[in-house]
Amino acid sequence: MGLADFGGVVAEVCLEYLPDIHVGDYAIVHVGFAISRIDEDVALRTLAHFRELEILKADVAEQIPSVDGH
Amino acid sequence: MKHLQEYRDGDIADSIARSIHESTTRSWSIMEVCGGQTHSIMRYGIDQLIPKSIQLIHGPGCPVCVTPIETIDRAHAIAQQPKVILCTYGDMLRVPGSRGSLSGLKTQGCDVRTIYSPLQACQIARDNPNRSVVLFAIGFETTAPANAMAIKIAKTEKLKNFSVLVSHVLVPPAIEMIASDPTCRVDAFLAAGHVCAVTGYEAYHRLAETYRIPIVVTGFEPVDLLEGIRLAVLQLEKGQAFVENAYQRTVAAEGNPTAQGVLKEVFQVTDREWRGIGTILSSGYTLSEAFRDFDAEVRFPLEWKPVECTNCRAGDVLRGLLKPNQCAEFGKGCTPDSPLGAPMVSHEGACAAYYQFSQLSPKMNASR
Repeated sequence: MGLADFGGVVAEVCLEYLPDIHVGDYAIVHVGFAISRIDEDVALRTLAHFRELEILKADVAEQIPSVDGH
Repeated sequence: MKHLQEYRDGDIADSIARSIHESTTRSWSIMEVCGGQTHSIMRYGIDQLIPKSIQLIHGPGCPVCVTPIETIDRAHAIAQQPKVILCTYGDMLRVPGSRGSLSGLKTQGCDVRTIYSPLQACQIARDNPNRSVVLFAIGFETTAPANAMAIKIAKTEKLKNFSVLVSHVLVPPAIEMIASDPTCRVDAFLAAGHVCAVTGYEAYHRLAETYRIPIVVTGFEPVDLLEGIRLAVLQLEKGQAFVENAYQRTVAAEGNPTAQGVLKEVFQVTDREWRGIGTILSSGYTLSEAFRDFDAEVRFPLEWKPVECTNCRAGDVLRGLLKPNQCAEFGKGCTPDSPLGAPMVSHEGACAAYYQFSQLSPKMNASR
């Protein structure tokens, strides 16, 4: 068992299914059991990929005034 | 909270939604299997952000909703036996069976307890050696490892006053039942991320290939859901059909091998009846031979004839044939305070999601 911080609420959680989990890791907890460790490297890469979509959107938005001639 | 707030970011959601609009040239129907995802879709108005030509069909992934009325009645009958303490998760208490709900029994003096974790049921058994503690164990593959651990602990500690009423169901056979139906309207599936966190998604490759249908493993936050829809649409537009993981930070291809090991030890696969849908072959768990002593069905051999509510169309809702607000009883004879069927009760039920969140966006009802 270990303690998990749910955004300020601390509760006891069974860690039996995540033998490699360390203090400071993030995990998905379901009915009192940690079932999956969140891979922070992958999470950062995913967010970077979403930011790229945002930049593309910004590019399109900038082009619109010139297309319209305003 | 970290790894949560980022996936509720409006700007990122808008960017992905825009990308979906740019990619979509045809009408597509995408089924989110999991009831938790249905609630997120309604809560965040995801269906309002995507093109009108993309229809989201809500699937049967609400464990409380598909638990057969026979099993609810059995739990009801067990709870009325002398010295029994029946333990289950919150939603299950209010689901209507033939003789009412489990919460109704509390007022009659029966000892029905809401638990947050199945380990609490073990503790209740330790604390009450002269009582018979029954864990009503429902859920999909996400919940099964927790219940399996409680049963394993009961065996190790020789908790003779502990037993379990098992009603576990499995996602891939349900997807196969829907995909193999000749009248299937679903073009792609969003697979439930937290189920796959346990099982992995190797079993889904055969389904995607056999039925030529994209399956995208998807999370539960608005950005996760939009990304799942985006990847499904990209596959559909290119005529592709394979398994893709849009929830990589949480789901590994192989899932959680430790949890799978315990599941294999405690349970074995069996045919299961899904309420409103019927029996699906090899679609659930029962206790394995080594744990059969803990089976509440054997300890409490009770017989009765269940009676379903005839006005409730939960079966059509669970199969994606009917939107909740197309049911004549929706919001009139059936509300969360006085539900006719389980989907109006559960926090994963589609009817409850529509009832709770459709007021947030008045246009939503008019457009359906």
